Amino acid sequence: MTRLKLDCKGLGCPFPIIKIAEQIQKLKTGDLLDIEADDSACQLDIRAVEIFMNCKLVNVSVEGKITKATIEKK
Amino acid sequence: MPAESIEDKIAKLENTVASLTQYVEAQKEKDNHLTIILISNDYDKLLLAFSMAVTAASLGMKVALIFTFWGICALKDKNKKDPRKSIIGKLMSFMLPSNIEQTKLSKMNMFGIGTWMMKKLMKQNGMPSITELLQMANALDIKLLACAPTIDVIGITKNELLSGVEAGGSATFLSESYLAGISWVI
Repeated sequence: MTRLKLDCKGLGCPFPIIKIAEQIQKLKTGDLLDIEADDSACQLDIRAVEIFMNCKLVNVSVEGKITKATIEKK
Repeated sequence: MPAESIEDKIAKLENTVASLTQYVEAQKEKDNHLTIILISNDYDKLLLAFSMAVTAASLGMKVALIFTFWGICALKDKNKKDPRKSIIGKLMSFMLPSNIEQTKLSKMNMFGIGTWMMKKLMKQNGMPSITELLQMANALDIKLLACAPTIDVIGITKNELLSGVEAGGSATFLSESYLAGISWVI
């Protein structure tokens, strides 16, 4: 089981979700991806990984402008 | 007439299940398909269309972008130019954007100042430019289709469009939309 990190700070919509989706394609079942973004859309956009990419959002937190999330590939 | 045997009944059920399975598979395929028809060549509307297309393709969907009338301006290749056949053709060419970067905001263009400010603001916010979005669309194998009859009507030829662009008519766009679970007109 691998745990990867992806920093999307400084990227604006739709870059963050595109980069996140790209990374998820490279994951295997059980792998985890920690992402960080400062784009205001990310908080809601991140749910797309559950809808489209068969992933589970293990954790999502928002502190000011920063959205942090842990994604598990199912 | 002899009553239907168990075997016959099972055979019928198996056939029905096979057709239903086929139908469900086709539906799943359709659900994963997005089509956007663009009639506008406004910068903001192009950004919307391309952002949605690129996001969908990144999330694994099959995407087709269809450009008609003014929308075809987004597909013009600035390095390709055919000689103009008529005065109207020349006028049209002169008055319309000659490539995607020359398109303007639908509102508050303010002689170009508004569009320039919007591009600056978006760059500051880390968002992609329309040219970058077009490059991403190509990298993600998004289908780019142009409306064949309106290519001529806006004063240009198919040779002046980006390579890889196919041209079709109303039936092509209808087919693409029919096969797509999501279909929008911008």
